[in-house]
Amino acid sequence: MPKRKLDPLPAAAFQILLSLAGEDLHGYAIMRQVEEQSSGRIRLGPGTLYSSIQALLEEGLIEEVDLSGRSGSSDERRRYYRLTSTGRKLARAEAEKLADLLRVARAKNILRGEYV
Amino acid sequence: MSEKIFAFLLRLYPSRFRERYTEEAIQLYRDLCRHENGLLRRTRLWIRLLADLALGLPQARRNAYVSTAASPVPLTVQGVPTFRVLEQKPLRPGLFLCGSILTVTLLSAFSVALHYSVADRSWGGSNVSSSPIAAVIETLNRSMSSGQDGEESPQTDGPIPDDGQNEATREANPVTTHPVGVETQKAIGPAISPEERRQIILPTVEKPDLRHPYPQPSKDAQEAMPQTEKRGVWVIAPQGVVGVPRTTPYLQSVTPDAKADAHYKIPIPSRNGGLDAAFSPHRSTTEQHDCTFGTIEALPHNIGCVRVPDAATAVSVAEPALAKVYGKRQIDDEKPLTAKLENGVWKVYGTLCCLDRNGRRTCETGKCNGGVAALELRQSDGKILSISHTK
Repeated sequence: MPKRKLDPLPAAAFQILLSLAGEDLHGYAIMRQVEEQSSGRIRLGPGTLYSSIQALLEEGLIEEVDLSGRSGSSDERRRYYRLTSTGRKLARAEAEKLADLLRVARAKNILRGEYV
Repeated sequence: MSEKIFAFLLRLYPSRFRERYTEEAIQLYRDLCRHENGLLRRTRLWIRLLADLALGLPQARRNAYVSTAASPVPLTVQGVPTFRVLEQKPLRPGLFLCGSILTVTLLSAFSVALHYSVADRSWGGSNVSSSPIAAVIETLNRSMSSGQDGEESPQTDGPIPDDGQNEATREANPVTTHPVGVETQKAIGPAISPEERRQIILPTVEKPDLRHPYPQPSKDAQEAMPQTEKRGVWVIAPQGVVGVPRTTPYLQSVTPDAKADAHYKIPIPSRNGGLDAAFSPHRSTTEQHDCTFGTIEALPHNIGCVRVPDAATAVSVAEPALAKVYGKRQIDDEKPLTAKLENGVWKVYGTLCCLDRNGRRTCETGKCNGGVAALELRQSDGKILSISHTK
């Protein structure tokens, strides 16, 4: 079985999946959302963003949405992306894996108070 | 300006990536620039962009860029062949390296093959080592210069049917040489049609700068050709003293039967020495070419190179040719041979003789029965047109 490109899931890809968990977004909105949800620690550039989006599309984790008829999407150059059920499952699995790590870190008293 | 730089940097990415995301990435860049004002922030943005473009490149090259949209047509239709599109496969870095090595290898091999000396016998007929390119260039140069340098005239090497008549011709003209150094027998090729002659002469005079040191004479000749060829005069050179002598060997060299040179229209001068003085430069030129300078009766008001200028010459040419066909004894019996010029053709006949009642040879008209040998000889170039015997 060939190795999946997103195994392990890169941080940028995971952030994109998380950003799309709430609503369908276009590229720039994803970039802003990622920056916001990471408190400014992760800033995706165009190269990383669209390379990751393409990889997620090819893995079927996200899909392109036709929003041409929707109000507020007047710019036809923008593409909107939506999280697929597979992508949602993978994001959940990744989050649970991080949660397990978080529990371990908490048990080991590695984390400071604000994470506990 | 900065947007163009950004677009240029995107060229580092795979073409499929650019096809899909260039516009969107540029729009994103505009959005970023709108929020990053000021020199410091803009500089920081560019540092981030450069780092991001470098970091995103490996991932971009790993992607396959297969179509993720729903295909409007089923990929496998009954009865319709399907093909695997290799373009949609991602190109691995190793392929670029292999491609580069293969390209350099092929170019090197090609270069070596071009410059490798080979012994070529088929081109030029000599065992001279030269590369294929050098051989081709040499052949082209030879064909280009053949009409001008006078060393050889390949166009005069047309096949001559060996039917006895040409053999007679070869014996008939043992010493006459072509003006450009080729024997007359070779210069006298098979008869060519008017259209063939046009095809030979027209391209030549149309490019005077290539073949002729004096463009104007050739240009004048070209312009005069439509009017003059109706009268059987193919090329009329201008009156210029310089142009005519130079045009003579030039035109002779480009015609298979060396006929095109023969006719020059030179106005008969009415003063200062008359005809001889006016013709003197042309006379010297044609005489250098083993021609006799004289009038061509078939072409009034035209003069030029004439290979059979008089009856004596015509007889001297015809006699060995007739002897070759009918035997020397027969021709000796028909002597003296007489020649008569009609429309540019010498008609040479034997004399009908016989023995009278007293056993003496008589050639009086009406006293002998039989026929005589006849030969037609073109005045301009000495070509034997026909050989026959009357009854």
